[in-house]
Amino acid sequence: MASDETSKEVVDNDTEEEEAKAKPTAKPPAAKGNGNGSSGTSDGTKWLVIVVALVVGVVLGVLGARLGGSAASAGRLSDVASERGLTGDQAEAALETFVAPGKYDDYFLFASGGHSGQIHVIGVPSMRLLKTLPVFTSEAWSGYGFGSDLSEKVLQEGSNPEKSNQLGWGDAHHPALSEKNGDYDGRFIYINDRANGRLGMVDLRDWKAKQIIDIPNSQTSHGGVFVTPNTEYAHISSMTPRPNTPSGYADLNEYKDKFRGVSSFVKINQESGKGEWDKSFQIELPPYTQDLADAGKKVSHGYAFINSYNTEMATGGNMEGKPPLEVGAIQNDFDFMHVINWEKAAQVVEQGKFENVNGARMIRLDTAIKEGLLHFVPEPRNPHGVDVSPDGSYITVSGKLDPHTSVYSMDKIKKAIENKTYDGTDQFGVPILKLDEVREAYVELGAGPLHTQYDADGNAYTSLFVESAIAKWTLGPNAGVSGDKAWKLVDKIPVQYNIGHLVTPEGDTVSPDGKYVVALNKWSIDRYPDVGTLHPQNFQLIDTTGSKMKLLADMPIGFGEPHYVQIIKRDKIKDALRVYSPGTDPLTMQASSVATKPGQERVERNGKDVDVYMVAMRSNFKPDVVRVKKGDHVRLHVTNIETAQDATHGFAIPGYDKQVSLDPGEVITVEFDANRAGTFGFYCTEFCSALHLEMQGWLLVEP
Amino acid sequence: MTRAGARNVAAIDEINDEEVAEVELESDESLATSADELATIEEPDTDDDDRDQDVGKVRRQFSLPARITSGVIAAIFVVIAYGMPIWVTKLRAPQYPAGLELSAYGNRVAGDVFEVDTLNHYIGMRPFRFDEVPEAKLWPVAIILALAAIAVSTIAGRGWLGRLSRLYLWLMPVGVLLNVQYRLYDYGHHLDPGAALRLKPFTPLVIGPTKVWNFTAWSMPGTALIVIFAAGAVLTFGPRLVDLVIGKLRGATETGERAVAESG
Repeated sequence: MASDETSKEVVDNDTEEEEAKAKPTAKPPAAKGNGNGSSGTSDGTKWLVIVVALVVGVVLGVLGARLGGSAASAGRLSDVASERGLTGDQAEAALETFVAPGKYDDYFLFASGGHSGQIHVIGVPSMRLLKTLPVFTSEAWSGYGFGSDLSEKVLQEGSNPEKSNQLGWGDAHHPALSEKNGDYDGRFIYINDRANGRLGMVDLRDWKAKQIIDIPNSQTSHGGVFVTPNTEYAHISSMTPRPNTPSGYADLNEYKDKFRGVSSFVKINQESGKGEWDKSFQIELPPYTQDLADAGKKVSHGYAFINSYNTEMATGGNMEGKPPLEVGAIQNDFDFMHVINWEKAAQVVEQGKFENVNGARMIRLDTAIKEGLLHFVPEPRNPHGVDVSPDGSYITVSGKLDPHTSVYSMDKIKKAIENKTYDGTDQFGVPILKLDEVREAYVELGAGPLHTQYDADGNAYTSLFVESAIAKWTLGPNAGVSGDKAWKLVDKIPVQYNIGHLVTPEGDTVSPDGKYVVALNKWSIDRYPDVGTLHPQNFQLIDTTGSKMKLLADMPIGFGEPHYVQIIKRDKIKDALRVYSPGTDPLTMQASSVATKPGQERVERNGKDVDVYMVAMRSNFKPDVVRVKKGDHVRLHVTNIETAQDATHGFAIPGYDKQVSLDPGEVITVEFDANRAGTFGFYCTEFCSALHLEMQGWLLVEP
Repeated sequence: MTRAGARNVAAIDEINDEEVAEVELESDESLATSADELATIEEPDTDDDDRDQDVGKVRRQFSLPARITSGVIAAIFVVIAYGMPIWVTKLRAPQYPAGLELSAYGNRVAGDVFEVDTLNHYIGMRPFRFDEVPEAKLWPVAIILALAAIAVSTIAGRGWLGRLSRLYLWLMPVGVLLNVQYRLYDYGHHLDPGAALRLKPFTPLVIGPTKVWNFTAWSMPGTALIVIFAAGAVLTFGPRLVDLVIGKLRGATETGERAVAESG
């Protein structure tokens, strides 16, 4: 009988679930044991865990058998491990990262997609790709950039015709989740376009990009995005300095005079999450190459930190008798960390001490110096990461060419600024704080340290690019580590290979979670089978709970080159919708003015303008025949009137390069000139129902 | 037997073993009295009674407070029921892990109506239109009648008029369910022959499971009908219960007074 089989399956599932629950409860003692014991005993402890797990397995297995199932038994578990050639560590890692079918991960990882222009959402600890969110680059599945009014508006407004051609891609580097009191609040996520100096915003209600802002007076961007602790501003700073001439042109021999960097604080609307440019401001910076940036928090609240390199202002020109940039830009012993008082800067702007430059309220460099908004701190040459500790009192800066990491004290920086203990100024007049007065620690970590993240126990984790490793080290007294234990390298784990950024759960907030670190490796080399000459990147999930860090899982990233990523607890994203309320315009998240209800379907013609009010539901479009004339301007307002989650439809018109996704409840307008005569069979691109294949219609464009 | 004695009977009828034990500790005499009275409990009381002509037995009319208390509670139930769902069906299918639900009220159908209509069009069942169920307009009438029946029952108490009014409360929910069943039959037997899935005409059950294609619909009376049923129960059994409680309270007080008097 079928019903008997069903009941058996139910029993099996229950038993497996119990096992899945039982294993993690068996785990913590082992983790604790690892933490306390030496590395010599840790293997033994791990095996103890396995034995305990197997005993639990036997108990549950017997129970399962009694209940009439074929539940796994101890023998079976170890058989599986040996059949698959897994060591004890690997079997344990599998159990630590396994998320049972239908269960959810604990964390979302938001990975920048690099030059794919997207954001990738990955579950932790399972390391499964959940979704790709297009921001700067078109993506056809979600209909982004193929005719939907939402994406057309976002992409078009994100491209300034005075500065660039219509941009079809971006280089997504550093995501920043919105924050409240320095902690992620799960409402919005911002990301910069390294290539074109733009700021993108994704709304975490429907997980769609809602805005791209082209930042005036800047061309490229690497600094940020970070948000200030209450998302008052999203900060983005320029990377390559840009000529401040009207045409945007200047010769490279005018570099020092005409090129400038810029730090932009984009005011965020707390309701929509969008940037409001008229309330934003910029600070003009010397033409160094401003690099990574971070916001101060708690002790350092109100401050921002931006690394810079190429204070030599080299321009390259290796065929013009000059050294290449890689030589020219590393001559000085020190570059400058920019310390910006943004709270004070906002007040200076309110006082009207700015100039309007290409639509931006810009605080000129001399004003910034005069008002005490900008100070420099020497940092070992060619720095990269700048990362503020959870309590905001330490700022960790790593230099690619220095095996040490430098930790600056915010208290000391404040004191030095107050007492004006300067070591002169740079050639633009920016005061330089004395290195010895502000540097708290100088810790040797290994070759090529880049970026740093934190946990809840006073540890810092720094990626070592050249060494292909992660260094775990201790912070100082302000992070609860005192005496001999402070500022010490405590562990190191090799990663495969060439790690760039790294991330710990909520590791850049005021309250990191610890538990894991994810290595974001640039090269995978031999980690995966041959899949062509362009290799995937490699994410590695590492357990940090023991005295020794332990590799848990590899994840191939064959869809972009992530730079920075952030990890947020799943339940912190509270406003995520599973379905739109009927008739929603995703751009505003309000009821759409062109939403169509059943019975209101119609075609309105006004001269050459044709508005079609169309409804999509399983399994037809209404109207399913649309007649226009060549030369008409057509607006198809399509409302998916479905209310069931996942009852998504697509709408594609062959020949016109149109494809949009119509999520349940969503209203999308597809606008185009009917410049090509013909009879086109439009159809639903999403397999929506048993009669999906019948969900098609005709667009007749009469010659 | 005196009035007080009669009340004592009622009170002791409700006393549980523990209380009996307590009484025993207090006074042997009291226990003896109780035992005697317990033996005579079913005997007719001629002191205050009405005669039930139909049954031909002498039955005691319930006290006015008892009837009013029960009537008020029943009336509150019926008033609450007015805004509650009359009939509920829950649909399960593999791709609806949370299920779908329809709740029929006196003036609307709530829940996943749109989704169920969308699915029903595949089997050619016409979408639900509330104005196609004209008898729904009778719901307020049925409720007013129920309140009237409660009033009659409260005034008449025992007797054929009272019984008839109570019967209405018992039967009204049944009648409503029968009507829903008729409508379900009607929907299930007028399927569009041009529909994607060609099903034989069928009758969804008003109570219980009905399997259609990948769906199983579990139907049940709504809380309105259950509450009206409860109102019927309160009206029928409430007065007797209230009288028992009143008697017990008075009896207990008197027993206590007697005990105090004796010890004094």
